[in-house]
Amino acid sequence: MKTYYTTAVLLSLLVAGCQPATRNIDVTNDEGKAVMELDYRDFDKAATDLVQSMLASGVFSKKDGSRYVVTTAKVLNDTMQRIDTEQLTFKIEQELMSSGQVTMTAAVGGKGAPDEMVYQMRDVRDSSKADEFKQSTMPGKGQIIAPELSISGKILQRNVRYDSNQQQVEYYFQLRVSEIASGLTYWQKETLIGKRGSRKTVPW
Amino acid sequence: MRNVAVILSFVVLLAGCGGQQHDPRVAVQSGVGSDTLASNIITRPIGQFVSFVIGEGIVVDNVKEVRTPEGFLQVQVSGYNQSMFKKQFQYRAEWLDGNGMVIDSIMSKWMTVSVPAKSAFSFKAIAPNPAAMDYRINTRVAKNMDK
Repeated sequence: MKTYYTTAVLLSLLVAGCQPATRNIDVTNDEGKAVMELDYRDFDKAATDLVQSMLASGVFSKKDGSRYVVTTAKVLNDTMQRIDTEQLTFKIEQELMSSGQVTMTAAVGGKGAPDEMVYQMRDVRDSSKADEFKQSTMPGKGQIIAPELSISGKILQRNVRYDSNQQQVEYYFQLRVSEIASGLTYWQKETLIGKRGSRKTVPW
Repeated sequence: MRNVAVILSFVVLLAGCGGQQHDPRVAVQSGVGSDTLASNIITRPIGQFVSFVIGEGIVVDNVKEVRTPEGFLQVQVSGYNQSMFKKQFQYRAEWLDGNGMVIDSIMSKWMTVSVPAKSAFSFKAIAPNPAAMDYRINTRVAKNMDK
């Protein structure tokens, strides 16, 4: 009986020792293997590519030198993966704001207001709780600035059989910038990220 | 010994023969244009071997800077792949403000460039904001790429 226990303990220790140790990813100089799904490196690459093109195009240059007010409309996830498209749009918004060219609005967006507090405070203002607040600090009516430009797009996935052992997965990042007043599109770009790998790997 | 030296000289000469008799702005790859001493089906493996052994790679021969009308510093790096093989590499640009401080940006990411054998290449990078006055560009071999 004692021998069984000892063997079981030794085996479990051996199995535990074979598991790879958890390591932090060097996100600045990651040289890890490519994966069939979209990982953070793909989002970084796509965002960099798209923002570089946006800035170089001068689409956000306003004649009077002021900043455009921009919103992010719907960016559709048309892939087989569960992706929060903010993985892409958040980076892009961040970079556009850092560029000093645009101001993003938190009042409207493709998934509703990015910051619900904008409307929650207005609900409070119109409720009986409003008396609890210093009135001069409450948001007034007609204060929200409407966006002038909108960023929208889609992330597409296509699976192609490459040969008997391999498949090819194509991810298309499509983005456009349109003027809300006129409905005209001033900039658009598609960035492709392609991967080839085992057919056994399911990219979702 | 003398024979070896002669053969080596011949082989090095062979590797250097690009056979560019056309406009240098147009790169005609092996198998597309007429055979040259370096691209001939018999001598090409020798040239490729030499190219590999002497470690031919990318040379950067021009770096251009412009300011866009919006005030963004834009850099174009041009060069040539001297190797007889396709070269895949990555570059990352870091942008510095007037005080030499690095500007944090998602645009400071490794981006991939692929250059066919014996061909010119160029890539462009744009600063994340108009405060960028200078830059640093680093390169590394692109891994995990489909050949």
